[in-house]
Amino acid sequence: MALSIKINNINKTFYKPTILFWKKNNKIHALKNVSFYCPEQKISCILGPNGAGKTTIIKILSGLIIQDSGEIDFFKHRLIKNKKNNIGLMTSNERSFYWRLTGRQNLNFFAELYGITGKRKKDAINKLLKDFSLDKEADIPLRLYSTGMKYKLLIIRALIGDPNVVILDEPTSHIDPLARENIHKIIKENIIDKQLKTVILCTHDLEEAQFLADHLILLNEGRVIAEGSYDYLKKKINPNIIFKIFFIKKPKCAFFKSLPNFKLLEQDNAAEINLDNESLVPDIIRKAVVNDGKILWCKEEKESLFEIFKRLTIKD
Amino acid sequence: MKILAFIKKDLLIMFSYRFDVFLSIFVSSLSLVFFYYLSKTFSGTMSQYLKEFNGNYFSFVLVGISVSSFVAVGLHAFANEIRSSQVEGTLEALISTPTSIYTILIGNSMLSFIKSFISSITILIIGSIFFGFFITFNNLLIILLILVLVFISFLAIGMLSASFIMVFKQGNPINFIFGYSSYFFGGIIFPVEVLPKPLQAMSYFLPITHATKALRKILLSQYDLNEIKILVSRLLVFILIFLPISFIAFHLSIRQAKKNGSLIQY
Repeated sequence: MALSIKINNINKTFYKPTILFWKKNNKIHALKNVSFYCPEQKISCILGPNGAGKTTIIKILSGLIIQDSGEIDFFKHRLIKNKKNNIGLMTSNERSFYWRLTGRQNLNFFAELYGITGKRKKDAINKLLKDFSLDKEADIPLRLYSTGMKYKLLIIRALIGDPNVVILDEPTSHIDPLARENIHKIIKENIIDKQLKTVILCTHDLEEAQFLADHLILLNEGRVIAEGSYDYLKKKINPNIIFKIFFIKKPKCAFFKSLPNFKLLEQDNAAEINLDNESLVPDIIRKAVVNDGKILWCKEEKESLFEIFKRLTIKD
Repeated sequence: MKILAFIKKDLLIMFSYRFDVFLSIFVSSLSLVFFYYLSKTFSGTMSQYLKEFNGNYFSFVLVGISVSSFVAVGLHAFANEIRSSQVEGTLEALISTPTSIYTILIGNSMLSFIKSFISSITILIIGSIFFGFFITFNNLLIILLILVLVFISFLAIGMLSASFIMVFKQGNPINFIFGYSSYFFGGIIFPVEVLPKPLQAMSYFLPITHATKALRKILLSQYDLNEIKILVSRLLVFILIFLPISFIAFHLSIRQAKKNGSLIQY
């Protein structure tokens, strides 16, 4: 797997100011030896409770905060100061635009700050506006935009400089479920599949993270407590798989006796089977049918990211 | 190029508030009318301090006003722009682009400086048309040079002022040191010579004093080029001292703000 960003042993301490200036300031260790990686052209999601250090990492990556120690390897180059052309930051602050200007005027201004001018600028803006279905509203003042439209424009601004890495800081907070679904589609289909960007997503929304992320980075109290794909983290918590079968007609007792570890769910007319190997599933289904069972449907009972997150945080 | 993008953006925002554009032109003209009638009130008396300028107070004050706009802009534009970008939330978006913080700072305030430059030139043109200001092609170049030097002086003061805002967010000693003192000791509204001798010494440390003096000599009386050279060199000394200091101070303030994570806090 090609790496896009590798973060090595980042430390950051903030000092809480005291009113009495001769008194020593209180230290807050925001990040403690934080190391993780973000795979190229995939969505990496930084998750963690409030105060875990997510925002600090995002700000360090986008050059708004300087780390005390540690390095960021970025496309094989060491990101010490500015590689801002390679990073597009989408903040969740919709006030970060000039509301007296139109969407297009705002994008024109920010494009020029990315050094994009003339025809290239015009083409890039038109293309992005069209891709995000904002072309019809591009020339109305931003103050008349809905929140969903402003969020789309925030993402367009992050993409305008054609960066390799796009940082999305809570891209769907404060928007309705339909607009949220639309943004998810844009992230998956446009930013990843079409534009082949690497996305770093910062969100509180575990459902969103589970749906979008290829790679999860779990933070707690300034430390990375786990990192990997959802399946990897799930296996880390519980290596077994839970397989659930719903019956129209239950099979004979012989079937249940043959199961290694199971729980009957009488009210659902179902059985929950704990397996250490998913290759056993076809054999179990066959045995149920052989023992006169009629199966309505079956599925793997997945542990939600919330459960994984909770258990890992408590364990930590 | 990036500075031009800032100017264009600010022009678009400025013209989106059409009434404010009209009102600010009206208010600027009103201050001229105010000083015109003030001058007319005392037109019969000849002050010994204005002898050099044929006793014409309005011409005297017009030159002062023409330069004074730089004081307000220099002291407030940078600091205000930084603060309002922090409050509005645009600073984070600007800083995350590949644009230097100096370009952001200067670009965000450039329109205010240009407006003050235009206002100075307009006042001097009004003076030349209606009050016989002595503007020829030769002294026009010196006038422009002086205005540019005042512009740079206040750019330096403004940057120093913005450094304090960056670190302390509120409370700005630069405004106190250069703001009121420029109006009081800088010879904008009344001649410095009116003040007691010890207070007059204060005026030597202000760039505005030398600029107004030089402009008045050029525009209102027969001037000696050597005298102008001395005044211009004082402005240059001020720039040579303060410009590097202000750049260093701003650089350090940004570094400090990035270290303690307060760059976009207010």
